[in-house]
Amino acid sequence: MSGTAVLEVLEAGWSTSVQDAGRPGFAHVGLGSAGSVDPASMSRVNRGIGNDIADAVIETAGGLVLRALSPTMVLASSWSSPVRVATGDTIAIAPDPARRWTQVAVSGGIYGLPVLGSLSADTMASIAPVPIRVGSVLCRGAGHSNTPTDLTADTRDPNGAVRLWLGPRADYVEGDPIDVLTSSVARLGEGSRVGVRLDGVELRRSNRNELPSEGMIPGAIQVPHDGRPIVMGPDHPVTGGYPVVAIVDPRDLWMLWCRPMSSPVRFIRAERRDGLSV
Amino acid sequence: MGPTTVLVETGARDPVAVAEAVRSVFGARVTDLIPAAQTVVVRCAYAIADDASFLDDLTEVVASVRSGSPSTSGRLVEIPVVYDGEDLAHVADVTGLTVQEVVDAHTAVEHRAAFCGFAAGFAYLEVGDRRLTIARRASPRPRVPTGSVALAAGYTAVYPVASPGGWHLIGRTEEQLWNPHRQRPSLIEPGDVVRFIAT
Repeated sequence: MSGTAVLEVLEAGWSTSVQDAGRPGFAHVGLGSAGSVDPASMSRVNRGIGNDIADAVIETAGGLVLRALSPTMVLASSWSSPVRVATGDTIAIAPDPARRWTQVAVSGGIYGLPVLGSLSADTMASIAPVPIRVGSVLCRGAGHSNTPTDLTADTRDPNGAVRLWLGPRADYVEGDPIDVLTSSVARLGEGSRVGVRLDGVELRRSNRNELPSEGMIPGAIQVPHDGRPIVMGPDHPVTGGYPVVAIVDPRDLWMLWCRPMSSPVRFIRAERRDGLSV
Repeated sequence: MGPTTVLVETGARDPVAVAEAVRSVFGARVTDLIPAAQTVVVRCAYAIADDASFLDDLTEVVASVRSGSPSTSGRLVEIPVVYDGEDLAHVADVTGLTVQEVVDAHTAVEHRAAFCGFAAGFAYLEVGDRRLTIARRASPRPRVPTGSVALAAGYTAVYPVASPGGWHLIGRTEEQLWNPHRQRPSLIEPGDVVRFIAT
């Protein structure tokens, strides 16, 4: 039943939050869309448990420990099948060595009062409709209980090539930024939901002028004066003054968040026809 | 900007007026419109980069906006301010005004919201009196309190939440700039006109 307490948080783990499809439509007042770093993985665990694909899930970099307060079903993206838990059972989500982020779905979704249409936490805007801390109690959402579909393996390759589009301020760096990015051995540097650094790439600024603030989107690759690119994530600031020299294709953005830190990233140039099938 | 987003350079046109025109023609086909200093980001939920008819229509809509005539659909927002900011004396020094003249200059005219950014509900207000144009502080403060009224780089603004900040603090307000539970979460939206009232 919706509202029933189902899970208690014993350990919050790293960067754990509740996420759904996010809240687009408020960028003009300074609020980004937030939302899952890997929407396809979120849909997959929801389907695998009989939820609607956009029901809110818990997203964690690992270390999350939950205790069941009533019988329910739980499915983490790192597991091969859903697990039925009884009252008192503990559920530990260990860091996944293959993926930086794990999505955890609960039967019926997660109950909460949406903020501007979404249960997603936004770390930049300090919005957390359903906070995850030690002692937080999560209640069953109002989601339908559909028949769980057989969990299909996630066959996507997080180590595949990441498609790049030319950004609007490509002329602020020396050379063609896509040539530089595709020919460098880029590695994932420090990252959060706000953005992730690319190590091992230097995009030298040829134009050192300040750029008047302009709108940002997830996947925008900004180049500060030090030449070290930063890729904007779901909680990015909506305007910025560093030039955007390239854009990660929205369909490939999940890869940059799923790979463990210091993984190599292989970039390729998006073909124009890639634009037609989003 | 990739398959789903276009950055429009507005030239002599008002970015807010361009964003409004795009919204009125494209409606919900556009998920986010971000007016900024000299550009508008037009973001869709689907691919438009190769959609020649979309891009033609967009170009036509932008061209239909008259150069140099700002959007007039904004509301007037009045914000009471206590002018006791830590940088008030410094701002007076740099601008060659007295403290009272700084306050008078800030309250006598309206300031128009050009765009939002930096934080949810943070509106960049074009400073209505050019004498108040002042560069950012040499080093930012690690924490600027909620409600601080500030000046920098030709803009004035109110910090909606406490955050690091490099603007000069001239006063503070009790008004709530950002509340996501309100019908209108941001007190100030692009195109609105703000009048500060000394209290």
